Amino acid sequence: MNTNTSTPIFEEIVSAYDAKVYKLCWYLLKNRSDAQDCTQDIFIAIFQALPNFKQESSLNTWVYRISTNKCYEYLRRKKRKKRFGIHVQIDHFFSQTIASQQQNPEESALAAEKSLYFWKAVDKLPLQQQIAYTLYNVEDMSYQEIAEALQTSLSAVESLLFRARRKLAEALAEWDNK
Amino acid sequence: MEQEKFYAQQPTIPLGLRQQLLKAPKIVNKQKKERSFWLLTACFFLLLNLGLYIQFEKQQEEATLASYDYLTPSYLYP
Repeated sequence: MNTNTSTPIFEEIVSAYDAKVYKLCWYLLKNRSDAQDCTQDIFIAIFQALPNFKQESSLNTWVYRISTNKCYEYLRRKKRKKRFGIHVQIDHFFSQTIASQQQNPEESALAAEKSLYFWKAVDKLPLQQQIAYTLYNVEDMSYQEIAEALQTSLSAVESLLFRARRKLAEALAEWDNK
Repeated sequence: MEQEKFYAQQPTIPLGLRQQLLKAPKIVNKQKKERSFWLLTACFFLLLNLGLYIQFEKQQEEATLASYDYLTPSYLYP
């Protein structure tokens, strides 16, 4: 498949997956500009890999496999930046995830703090757990689909999700006990 | 579960994201052109260096031979 024949297929993939991939990047990187850059890189990688797509797996799995690999790269870079003291801001949106549901301004402020605390706890999870947890919650993917996207076994996904949920529940309990 | 509430909000998709993503083929082509340009440049300088090295070696050899000729005139008139 050369560039000319893969372009129409690529356009179909873009129109079907642009919002989904952006949403995944957004929830994983928690920053608008990083999410946009990562989405662009993912679609460049998809275009480059398109001639090698042999339809052994579904298109959905294949797109998510490329997306998770790229997100993994970005998350690793983000962690490295943090180690060197460069702090990437968590977008304002993330402090508002449950705050908008509150009527009282005081409750709303507390909910905003709790949201931020939750997202910081998500950020502290190991990368594999973070990705598996996000795929499950954002994309509503089944365990089997997550296993295929992460190229791992079903039992490994179960364990990743169990550990992530337990750590986040602990973080929320800690917040409630404050 | 409480944790799932945090994923309830939908992020707004930036305007023009699709147009930006559709530029991927152009970006890939541009990257290919850039890569081949730098590869050609690197090859050119490598060959230039090799050529200059061979020329220098040849000059050295000629100079050595010339110095032998100069130092041993009897060689020319046995």
